[in-house]
Amino acid sequence: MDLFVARAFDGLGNGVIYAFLALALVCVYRASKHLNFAQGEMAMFCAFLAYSLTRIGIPVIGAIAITAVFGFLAGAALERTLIRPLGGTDHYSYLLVTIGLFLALNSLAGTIWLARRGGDALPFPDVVPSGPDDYVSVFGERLRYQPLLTMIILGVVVGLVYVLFRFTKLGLAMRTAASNPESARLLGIRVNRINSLGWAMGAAVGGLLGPLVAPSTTLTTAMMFPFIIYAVAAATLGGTDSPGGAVLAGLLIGVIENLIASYLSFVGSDLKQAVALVLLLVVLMVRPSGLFGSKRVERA
Amino acid sequence: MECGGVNLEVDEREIVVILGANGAGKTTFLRALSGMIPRRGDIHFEGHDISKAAPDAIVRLGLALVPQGRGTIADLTVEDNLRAGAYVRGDKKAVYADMDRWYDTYPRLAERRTQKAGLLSGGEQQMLAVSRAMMSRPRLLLCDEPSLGLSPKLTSQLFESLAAIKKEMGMTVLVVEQNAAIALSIADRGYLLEAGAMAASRSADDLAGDDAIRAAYLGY
Repeated sequence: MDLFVARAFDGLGNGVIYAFLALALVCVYRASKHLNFAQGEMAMFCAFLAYSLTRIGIPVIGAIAITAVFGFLAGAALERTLIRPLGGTDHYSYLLVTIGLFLALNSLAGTIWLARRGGDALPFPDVVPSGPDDYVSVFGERLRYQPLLTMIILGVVVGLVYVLFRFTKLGLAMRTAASNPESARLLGIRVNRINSLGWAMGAAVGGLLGPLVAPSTTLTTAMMFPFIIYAVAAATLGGTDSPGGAVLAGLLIGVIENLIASYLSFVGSDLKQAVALVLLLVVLMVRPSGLFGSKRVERA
Repeated sequence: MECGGVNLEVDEREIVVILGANGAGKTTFLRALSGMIPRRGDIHFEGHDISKAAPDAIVRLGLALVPQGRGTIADLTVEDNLRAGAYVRGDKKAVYADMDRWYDTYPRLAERRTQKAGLLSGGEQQMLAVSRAMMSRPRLLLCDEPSLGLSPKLTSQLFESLAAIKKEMGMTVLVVEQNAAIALSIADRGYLLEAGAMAASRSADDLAGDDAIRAAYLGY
């Protein structure tokens, strides 16, 4: 039993990252109705940026706050310049643009930060102490500070998003625009701005996540690769338009993946990634709109 | 679809109906008025030039469209649909008073206020569409084919309530309708739109009595 709990907890460490990135995907999805494949690279870029900020003497926490704000502004700018001109109807051009963005950010970060080092990873300063004794005991298990901090920040962000959607007029406008953009415009909602805001929020969430992941992955241009696949799975599993659903699904995938990998010996660490995809397949067969996604329930 | 040569005037506190066959350009015309599509020419509303205004500016001036197909915001509850309708307004208290007013007018909506609007029946969605548009307190209400998909009984109920709303609120209604008989029964005047061009306006009685129109649009 103790081992089971320990393994579940270990899974949470990755799960919280999947959940975080999935939340960013959902913010953008609600605006553009597509998954943004460059979401992980945007977070990666922010992590490098945070690194540079710490090098000029800004404390890590301050650097993270700055990159989140940078992400917010850059996200809005990207929507305005790259996404809005596509007109929102053409799936392939959207796909191409986000993949292009993926490659561009990847190369740009490599050129700016890693080229001089021959591509070697950069160390990222710890946000919280990460020595052998830096953990809290939960049910006799070790929960290390870094994932704990990520979890707390994720919790705060999810709480803020919930309050925004449920209790504010802006949130109502965002939900209206996501559900029926045409009607939203007729009611006086500036849907273009709402879409920019979705991208801004997604990128800001990524701006928080990148530097939080960086201490454990170290800074490489590939640091977000392993996570984006799971995050896409989590967003799809939870329902691409449901922030809470995506977060819950991200945590679940992290835990289940780790449990299956440790109990089914043939899965091991090599087949770990397949677990998420099998899980995804099964859920989508039963519930095509994901666990918490809004089903299209229109009556003629 | 392009409309050209459309000349139309609506006076205060009138109900004006636009008649026309499928593809005549009725919906395009209303969408142009609401600023949803590019348009040329002069559109004036209460002295404001809205020829180039954006949809949100037009709503703020007091012009609301009940779109064809009802424009239901399916993932939102009935209540949130109404709140979204009042998006351009700032007077929170009055908004809630208005909401109650529409719940009184259409009790079915009150019963279903916490349900997702996508689950409503066609008739209920049409009531919701009218209420949602009215939540912005428009002085000119545009209705695009409100009878579409409704039973004859629901259609006449809807038009009765439109006439009642117009009388009570002292507002103006411009309605596009294929069900000419029922539209003319509450209208003051009517226009005939054919292939994107508008004929001169005539009184509703005159239109209803015209043999050619009777054959083409009234079906008897």
